[in-house]
Amino acid sequence: MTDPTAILPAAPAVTTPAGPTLALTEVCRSFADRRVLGPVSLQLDPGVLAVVHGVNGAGKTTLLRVAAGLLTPTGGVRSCAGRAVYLRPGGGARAALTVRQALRHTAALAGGRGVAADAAAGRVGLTGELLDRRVGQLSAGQRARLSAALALIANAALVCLDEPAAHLDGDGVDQVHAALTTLIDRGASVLLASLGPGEFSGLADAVLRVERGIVWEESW
Amino acid sequence: MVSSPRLAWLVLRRELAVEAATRETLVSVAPFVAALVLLAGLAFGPRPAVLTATGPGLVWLIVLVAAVPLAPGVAVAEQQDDAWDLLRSLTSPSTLLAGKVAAVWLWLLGSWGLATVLAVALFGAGATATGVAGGLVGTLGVAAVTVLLGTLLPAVTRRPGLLAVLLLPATLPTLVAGTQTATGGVPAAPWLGLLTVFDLLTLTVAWAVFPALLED
Repeated sequence: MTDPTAILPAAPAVTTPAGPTLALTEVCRSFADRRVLGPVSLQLDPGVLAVVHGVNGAGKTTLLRVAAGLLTPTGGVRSCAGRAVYLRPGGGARAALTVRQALRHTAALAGGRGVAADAAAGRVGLTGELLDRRVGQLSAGQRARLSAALALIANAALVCLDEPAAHLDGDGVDQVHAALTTLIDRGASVLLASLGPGEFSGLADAVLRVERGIVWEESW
Repeated sequence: MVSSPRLAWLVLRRELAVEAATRETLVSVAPFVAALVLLAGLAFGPRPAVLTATGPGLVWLIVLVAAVPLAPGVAVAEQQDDAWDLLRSLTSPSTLLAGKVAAVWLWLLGSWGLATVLAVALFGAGATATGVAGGLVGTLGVAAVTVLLGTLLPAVTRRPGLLAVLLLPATLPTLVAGTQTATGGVPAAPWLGLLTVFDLLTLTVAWAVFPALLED
């Protein structure tokens, strides 16, 4: 059994002089006096991908939303060096917009350019007439690919992806893998939640398991 | 790094793109405004003097009621599309607020403009320069209140009636002052001043509390 208190080693797998992208120190989160997460201490350096897995209701999504800054911890300290984004598969874009519009609006908000949006779309296989299709008319798998493309153009230091392989076929999983590799190569940190560690364990620098809000280190 | 004014503009541009794609605001609010003016004309009777006198007040009452269906566009529609989290992450609270207020302001100005044109055409109500100034200034404060309550709305989706209960009293100063700026023979300056103070107050409160409202 792994040690639940020393959630990650003091010296993570990849160390950089710039310091960690994300640092959670004794972070807890409760909803209506019911604690659903923590205490969690976690440090992610640039270019590190950590997979968080656990059963439904274990606290994975809460951990990711706290890490992304969307949920304020009820205890402990969160610090993040740069922009953090959280994406569910299929999330991130207004259904009424076309894929091209959604990507370009996101790229502009993130300080990027349209060419970056087009390149990101190509990276996940959203090409041709799919670019002019409304987001709401995409299949679940196509929307999941769009979310991966949005993660690529968000210019984020920390990308939190909740079940990014949901709804994806084999090609889709490969394309999300490629997108994740690009993010890591750029120096972004990735925190990825999944029911099981399987699909992304090959890319992972760390595998964490969440159980009743407590994070256990499985490998680092 | 994108400057704050540009980020606010980008949020507004995204709102305009969504509206251009769906025409949702146009389709839901414009017929509503037109129907209210026509129904009010029937309700107040055929005497021109009554219709002329009630025109300015009716216009502002319609603007306030039209704000209620605009509120879900602030956050509920974003959440239904699962786009809210990313938008929050890419913007600061102040730029997100500015972009959303600007969008709602535009929709409210459109509602005010349509209601005014119909009131002038059907009721014979006069359109004055101070009335136009009142429309421009007054709708900004209503937009700020609408965005605040629209951001709260996801938390009260089971009680949507609560929104109207909160929104309409909060905008009462606009109803009173906006009506006076459009009423002939009434000194407009004090009422325009009141509308400006109301704008400053609502925008300041919105800026102060918006970050807290954005939290899950």
